Amino acid sequence: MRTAVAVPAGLGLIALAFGVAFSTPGDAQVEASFAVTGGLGEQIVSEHLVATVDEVGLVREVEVGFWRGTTAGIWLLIDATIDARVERTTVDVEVYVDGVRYSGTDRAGSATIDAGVVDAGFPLTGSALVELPADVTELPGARTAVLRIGTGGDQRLDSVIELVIDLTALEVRDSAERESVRDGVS
Amino acid sequence: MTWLRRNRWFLVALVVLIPGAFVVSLIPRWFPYQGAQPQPDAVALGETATYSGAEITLTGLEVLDGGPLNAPANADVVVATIAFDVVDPRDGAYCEITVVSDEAGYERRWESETVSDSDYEIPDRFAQTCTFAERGAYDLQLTFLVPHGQVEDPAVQISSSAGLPRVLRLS
Amino acid sequence: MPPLVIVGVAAVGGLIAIPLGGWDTVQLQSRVLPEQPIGQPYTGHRLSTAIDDVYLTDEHPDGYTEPDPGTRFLVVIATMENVTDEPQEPLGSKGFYAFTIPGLLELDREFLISDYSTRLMRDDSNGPSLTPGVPDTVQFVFVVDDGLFAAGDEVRIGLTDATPESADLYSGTRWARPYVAVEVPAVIRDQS
Repeated sequence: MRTAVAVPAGLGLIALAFGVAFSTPGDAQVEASFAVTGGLGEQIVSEHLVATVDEVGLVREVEVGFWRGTTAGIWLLIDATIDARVERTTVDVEVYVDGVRYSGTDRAGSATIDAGVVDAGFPLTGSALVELPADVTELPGARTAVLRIGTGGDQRLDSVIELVIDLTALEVRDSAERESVRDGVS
Repeated sequence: MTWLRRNRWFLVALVVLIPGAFVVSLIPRWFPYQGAQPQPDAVALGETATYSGAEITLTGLEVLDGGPLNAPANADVVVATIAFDVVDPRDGAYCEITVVSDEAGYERRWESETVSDSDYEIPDRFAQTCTFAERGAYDLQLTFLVPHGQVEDPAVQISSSAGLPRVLRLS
Repeated sequence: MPPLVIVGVAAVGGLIAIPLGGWDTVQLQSRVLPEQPIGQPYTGHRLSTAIDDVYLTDEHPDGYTEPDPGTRFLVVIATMENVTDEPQEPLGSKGFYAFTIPGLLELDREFLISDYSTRLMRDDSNGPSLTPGVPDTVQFVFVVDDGLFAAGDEVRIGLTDATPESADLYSGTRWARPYVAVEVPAVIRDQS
């Protein structure tokens, strides 16, 4: 009788150990950013930023201001108007596909919207460029890529803006031209 | 009813202990965090306040229309003039002056210009950086760009690393 | 004790160790350093790296930096691909450089950031970071004492690898137990 109870009980405890180990929230869950979500053309307001993403597209080569960007991958070209909500802050653009983080390029110098700072009530209009792998549209997560606009640095438990983008639905163009970042109207 | 009656004191204890545990859990982080937040001290224009070893008076605060001053698009210019008299120098104290306004329904802040982006020029007799390091009096003038038409009644906030968490809010 | 019980106990122990992370750090390392031909990529946990060219020059590729007296520039051209899930600096940081150059750049040795620069060959941008899954050719320029290397010398460039672990003191990846995985024998050219 004792063995009949002890063996299933032992196995049950081992199963429980697995359950505890695999269900404990990790740092990724405990320290996740607080995302304010929205769609293209909507004004999205986080704790720090007010952003409207007007358009996104995939492009093989791009000119922003005087900078010509080539890549062995492909550019996600993001056109947006961004200003600070409370005080001067940096702008940081990132894209997540299947948990992989791709940052806005800083190769374009000061031409892109995520190169410098924004002030409260002074919207800037411009483009950000995120270099992605050439075959990104074939990745499993390409339909639910997340475009994140934050203030850079440590974003754990911080407020960020997020848009879900279906990369497979975007037209791939060979080239595009954009102006450098400039004053905008939000 | 008997179960509730039998356990009534335990239930009362729970009602007290659970909120109590919540408050206790806030002691190590939340209360110190709240205490370290800037505590604004309101000072009226022309009044003198002692802060970070200096006597500080806001002597002028104007919002100028940016248009005639050729300010950047959509900007007005806030000009703040402040008299400092450092009586008890604080070496190495970091001084920060911003313009704050809650006219948008919440508080917004702007940093001072390092180089004027409009036709307004700060007269030479004014200092343009604030310091608590040396004994003596000086007049400071700073300009701030704020969004056009959105800021009519701003305040000037002065914070010193030697005075935090207290900050002065002059208007 | 019957052998079946011993095996059973060991099996249960091994099973219990899985959720506790007991199997996470087991790795086998070979002591023999394989050779990797120049131009052929070696793929580690951080980068896939191929050393394409190594040369000495007195003219900085940026076109304006002059060498200090008694120094020259050692230029390493490498084609790299970031195989992690976040952007990576091409050379990496102290303790886990992407490659080693005997006498100049070695694992666990401090190397001043002012003593080298990186440029992306494609558009000459300085200090680029590598996008996951996008291969690119990077030029590394090291300031070296005159006489440390000579044209025609063979230099054995080590391509490194390490084990990614989740960092305790900061958020992100800690690269544990870095080691030279393969060696690329390269003959230094002179480009004057």
